[in-house]
Amino acid sequence: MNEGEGVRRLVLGLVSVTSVTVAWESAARYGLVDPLFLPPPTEVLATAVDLLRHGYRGSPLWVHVGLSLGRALVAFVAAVIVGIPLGVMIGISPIFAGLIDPFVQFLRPLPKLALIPLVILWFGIGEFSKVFLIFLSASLSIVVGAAAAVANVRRQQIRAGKVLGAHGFALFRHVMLPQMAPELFVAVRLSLGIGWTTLIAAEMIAADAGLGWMAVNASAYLRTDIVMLGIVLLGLTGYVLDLAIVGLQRWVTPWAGRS
Amino acid sequence: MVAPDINRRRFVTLAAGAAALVGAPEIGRAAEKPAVVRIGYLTAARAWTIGMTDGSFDAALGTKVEWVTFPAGGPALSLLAARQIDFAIFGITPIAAGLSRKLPIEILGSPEIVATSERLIVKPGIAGIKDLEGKRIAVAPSSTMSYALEAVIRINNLDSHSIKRLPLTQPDTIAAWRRGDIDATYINGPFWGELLADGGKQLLVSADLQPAGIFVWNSAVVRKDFADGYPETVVAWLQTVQAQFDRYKADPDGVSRALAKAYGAPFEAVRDTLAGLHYPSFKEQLGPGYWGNNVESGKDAPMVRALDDVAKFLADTGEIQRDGIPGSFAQTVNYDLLNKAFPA
Repeated sequence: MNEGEGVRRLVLGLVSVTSVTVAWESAARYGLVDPLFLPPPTEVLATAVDLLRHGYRGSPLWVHVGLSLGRALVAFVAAVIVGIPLGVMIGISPIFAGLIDPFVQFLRPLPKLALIPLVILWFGIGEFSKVFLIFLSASLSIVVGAAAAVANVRRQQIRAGKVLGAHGFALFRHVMLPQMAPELFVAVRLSLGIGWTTLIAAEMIAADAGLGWMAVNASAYLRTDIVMLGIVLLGLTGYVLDLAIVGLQRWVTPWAGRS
Repeated sequence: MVAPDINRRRFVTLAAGAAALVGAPEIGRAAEKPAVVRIGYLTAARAWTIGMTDGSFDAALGTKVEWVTFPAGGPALSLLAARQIDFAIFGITPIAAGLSRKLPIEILGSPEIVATSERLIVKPGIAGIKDLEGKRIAVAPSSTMSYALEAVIRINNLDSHSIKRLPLTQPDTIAAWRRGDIDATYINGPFWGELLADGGKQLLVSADLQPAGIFVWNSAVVRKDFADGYPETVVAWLQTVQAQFDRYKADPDGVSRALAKAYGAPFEAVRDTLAGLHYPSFKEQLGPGYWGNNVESGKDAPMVRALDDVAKFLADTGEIQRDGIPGSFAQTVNYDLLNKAFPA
């Protein structure tokens, strides 16, 4: 993507976001939609200011954002640390793949909400359970992505590496990893999104703060303005996290997409 | 009353989606019958729903009746807002919240008063109320129990900050109790049965709070434009609800047994849960001990005042905005139709 293209996309993005916001506001202004169903942006903004000043249910707004972000990031880092080696091992060793893969494929599509009662019984109602739930969905997605990345390394290059005298770790480090890295980043990026979507389920476990909890709790009292604010903040935070990963990817694997 | 969260989320999503789709309200001409009447009810067995199991409502209303279940009061609000149900009976905490959000619904009395169906159960080490300080107490979020728990703390001047409230659904509460993660819980039947059997001790029941002016109950509500369009149907519905409570009072065991079968729940659990509610007749409710019989006499009626307390409590905790609370909740009661259904 060259610079001109980047600017054009930015402008298009701004135009589209602005028009949707204006349409949303006017729909409420002119009584097309009951503000109970769709609180206008100005009301959501007013709610945001109110929560910034007075907090929500005893915690300042930044604490809700920070807590959710903290839970997600801890889970996510753990998922990367556990998921990538596991996935690579599945990719390299057919025996290991045969042993582990059934569990990965069984757990991965499982709605994480269904696990809440078990997670509470096993790990209690503290922070660990919340982080664990996010970790589970993020790591499973990384495992699958990492295994696929290994499978996509070209056999020819491995053979060439071997001929040139590379074996074991050297082969992995200098031949396989550079090829896998861009795909690993894609896997990590996807898993971040998936982990972030598990946040609401995680924060249903005895939470009294956090963005996901805030949105769910507010819905019980028909506070659609807070629900909307929670959704906007969840979306924006997820977006920023994604941008951060993309930035990291460009920095670590500048060769991606240029072979 | 809150059941598993999966349901709750599904309902909220469905309701929100439906809300976006359903635009114009159905405009009914007065005195005509609606094509269908949709009645919302809690997933747990309730005495009046005996009329669902045998078609009593279909017969009495003379039109098609659809029954829509909801696991807790929060989703009930969403269903009402999305015009997916016309009538419902559920807890005052969400009703006070809905009315403060200008949800167009009207109150039709308080047919179910919580007496012993909701209880504060503690671990054996806790001897009295004062011992709750510094403890962890589980309570279903946005429920009448969470309101009652706060009332216990306030009435007894407990150090509120030292008490850790854990928002947990009832099944999750039982799991946390078994693991020793909580010291106490304010919980409804039949769930307390399991905790009492597990060595739990009952500290108090919601009826014990009544001398302090704390009432917890379930109200019947109707969507306002439904009541405006089909007043006769509302009158017939109220009389049918009363008839079901009369059936229960005449034969508690028989009705409990039929409901246990319909809901797939143990008979004893249903019987004990239903016995934990108190059922004043609508006629009694129109007296000075409950709602009064018009907006004027209702202003100082105990239930109207209690509803105001609930709303103020919700505003104090930051759940609702104070300026949304109605000037008097008597204005949100449809005295006309109540009087028409149960003339003095």
